[in-house]
Amino acid sequence: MTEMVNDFEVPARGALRGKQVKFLIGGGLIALAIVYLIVAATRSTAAYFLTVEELYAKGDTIYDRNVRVSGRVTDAEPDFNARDLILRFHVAGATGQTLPVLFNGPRPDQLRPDAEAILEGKFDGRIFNAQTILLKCPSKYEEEKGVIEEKVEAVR
Amino acid sequence: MADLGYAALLLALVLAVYASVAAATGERRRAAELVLSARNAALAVAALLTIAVAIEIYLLLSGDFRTFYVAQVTNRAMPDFFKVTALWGSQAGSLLFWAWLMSLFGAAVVLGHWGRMRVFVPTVIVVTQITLAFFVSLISGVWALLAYPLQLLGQSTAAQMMAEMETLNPFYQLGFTPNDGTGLNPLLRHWGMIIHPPVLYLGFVGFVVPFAFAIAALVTRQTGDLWIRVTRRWTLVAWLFLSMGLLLGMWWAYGVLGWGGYWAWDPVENAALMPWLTGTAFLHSVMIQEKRGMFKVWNMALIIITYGLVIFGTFITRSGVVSSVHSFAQSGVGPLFLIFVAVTFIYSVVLLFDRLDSLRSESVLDSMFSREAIFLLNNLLFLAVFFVTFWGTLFPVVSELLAGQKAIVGPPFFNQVAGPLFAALVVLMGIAPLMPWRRASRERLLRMVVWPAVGGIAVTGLLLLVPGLRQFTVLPGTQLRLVPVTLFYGLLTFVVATIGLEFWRGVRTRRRATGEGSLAALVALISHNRRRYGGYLIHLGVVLIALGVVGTSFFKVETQRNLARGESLTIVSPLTGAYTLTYLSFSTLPAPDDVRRTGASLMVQRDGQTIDLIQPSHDFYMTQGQAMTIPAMRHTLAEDLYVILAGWEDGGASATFKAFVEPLVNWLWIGGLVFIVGTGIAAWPRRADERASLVEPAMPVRAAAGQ
Repeated sequence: MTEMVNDFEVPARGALRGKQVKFLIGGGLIALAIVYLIVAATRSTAAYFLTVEELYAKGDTIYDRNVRVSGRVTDAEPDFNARDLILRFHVAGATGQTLPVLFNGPRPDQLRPDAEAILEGKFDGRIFNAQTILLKCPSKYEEEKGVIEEKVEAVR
Repeated sequence: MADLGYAALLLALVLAVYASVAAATGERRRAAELVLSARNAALAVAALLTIAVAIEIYLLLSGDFRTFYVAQVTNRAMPDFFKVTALWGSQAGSLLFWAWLMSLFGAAVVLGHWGRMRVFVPTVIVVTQITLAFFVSLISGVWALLAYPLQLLGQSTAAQMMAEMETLNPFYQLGFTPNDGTGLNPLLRHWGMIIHPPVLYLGFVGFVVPFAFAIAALVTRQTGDLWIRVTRRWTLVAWLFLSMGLLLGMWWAYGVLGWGGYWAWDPVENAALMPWLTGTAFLHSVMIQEKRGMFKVWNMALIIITYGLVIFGTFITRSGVVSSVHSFAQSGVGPLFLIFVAVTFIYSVVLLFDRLDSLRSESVLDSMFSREAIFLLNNLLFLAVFFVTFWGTLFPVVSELLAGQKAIVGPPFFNQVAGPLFAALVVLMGIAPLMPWRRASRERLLRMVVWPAVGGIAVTGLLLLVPGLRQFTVLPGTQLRLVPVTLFYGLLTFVVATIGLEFWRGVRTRRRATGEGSLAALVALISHNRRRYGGYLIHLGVVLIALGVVGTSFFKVETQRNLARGESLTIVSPLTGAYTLTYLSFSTLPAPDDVRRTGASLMVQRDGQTIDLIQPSHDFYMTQGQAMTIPAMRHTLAEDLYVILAGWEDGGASATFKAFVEPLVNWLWIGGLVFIVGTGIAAWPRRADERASLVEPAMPVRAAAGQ
């Protein structure tokens, strides 16, 4: 067992312990503060990631809260007003239940029937107001397992 | 040819396994011939993987589409340059590339330390070759052999996943020869994205070296600071590449992805950030072990975590476990990575616990006002940012596991928690260099702090009081004073002043002692204390980066409008006033590489004066059917004007534009350059230095080890 040469004198055990305890308490307080920050921020920013069916099942508990919904685009030709940048389309869940979507922004290139959409925004019980649209479309690229993605954001 | 490549790959796998077994046995039995044999095997692995990579590049260049990988990532229309870079364009190739880099590092370490530090070499071979064997096994198709037994056991999903791994072999042959390949994803055809993966991989792979030496130190019980001194430069180089990889990735995202940002807290970004955070903590805390023989367990823990995160990071980017903007495939690779990370991590932790007795601290913390105390706090904060990132990245997985409901936390979560922690780190960065080791007297501390503090307060005061500077502290479009931001500018000034004072004091002392001119003294000062002054430059880079982050986080403005030809939109920069953009013309033209380029011309005006003509465009890759938005940018030191063509109607009669003003963003890139130059200076080798720091302390230890 080798010990490196130590050029510093080590204080007596008792004195040492008192000081170390102070550092431990300090460190512990900092750690607690950070944990608190994490918990508080998680509570205020976490959003459900739901399917269309789950969204309807949640009912009014999620009205006006930020959620993320995934579904399949159903419209062959979405309704788009280019002048005011208002886009209306529908997404459907696995059982075919559909959700009307309203988006204020440019029309994504990949918005095609059967494209998988991940929408972020709020649901008021009738229409989903999307803030961002992420589209996944069939592609030939292996690395994304047959998926290319496009993300668009609403006008603020 | 492909068969030859595959043979090289398989042989490399066998030899890597052999090397690790032989080195482990040689170490235990003190059999020098076995260790020598393991060393030669490790060198052979590097040679074989070099051959495999050369053959893969040959196949890519010659358009051998019968090879599945070549057909996936190249096509006839692609320029040769992109064909070569397609080596890391997809999963199989990039894992091969990763393994190749790892094998070169492994070989270099073994050769470099065969003469000196040989006590560590056997274990270093074991660690590097096991890591290597794992990566090579993923692309060698051997895991597909498990498919049949798994099927027999009734595990059909697992069997399916393993069977799919057969095609992960970069030399996998199709049953037919396709006429043409798919081609590289257009998003990846940007030079930032071309050098980003190799640079990042160099960083990842580089951290395996300090980890290997740490494990070697534990195994051989040489737990002084020797392993740290040996790997100091390796660690710095790894960290340099990781930092560069992160910066390049940000730059690429900003210039290519066309959303006006550079960091989205995407899982793939986080995967590269997390080892950087723990690695940065490690770089700082090893200095305390070198100076004071403290924090030995802590340093071991940090490098173990960093290594785990490097492998875990590769796993996240390669498994698609967390849905991501650029997530990759779902295959058997994910579970295998997870098992590998878990096994190496558990082994390392158990080993660490077993050696706790030899890792006792040689001194204790004396005072809050000491450099080691500040470094400890710095470590806590880096680890906290790491934990925040880890938590946020895995939150979807955790919430699904625990609550049965997938939930996410977005960028606001990370910004809310990591933002203040980063700000606190900047504070420490200003104070730490002023703190002496052990304990600072109050008078000395006051004397050191007074001028930087005066500078910081003066800047904050000026920003608050001078009307012409108001825009730097007020939220755009409101009268709301951003108090924390205003204070933060003062803080940045404080940090810059402490760094400036350090340089000034050093130069003054040298000039007095040697009579050199100022410039000569500065150059000599830096070149004789590379680590210290390189470190200060890194800190200066961080300050500039922070300035860019503050500018883009708090003062960015954006607008989006549909314009008919001849119409204008106005965007008001919070720092420099209004820009008027007028939509002039529209064109769609064929471009090289099978692209149809649609562009719109916009006249940029300011106070009635035309200052620029910009052309945001939209490239459509015909073969792949993929679109790509090319932003138009006007760069100045104050800000970027960043414009995207978001859509158009009736052949361009009207078009939608999205415009951003990105205040101070270029300071981020300038800071990045300063940061990299600083790291380069700190890591630059010095022969005399090395001899002094390595051989001398090595002697007593080696003598002791030989007893």
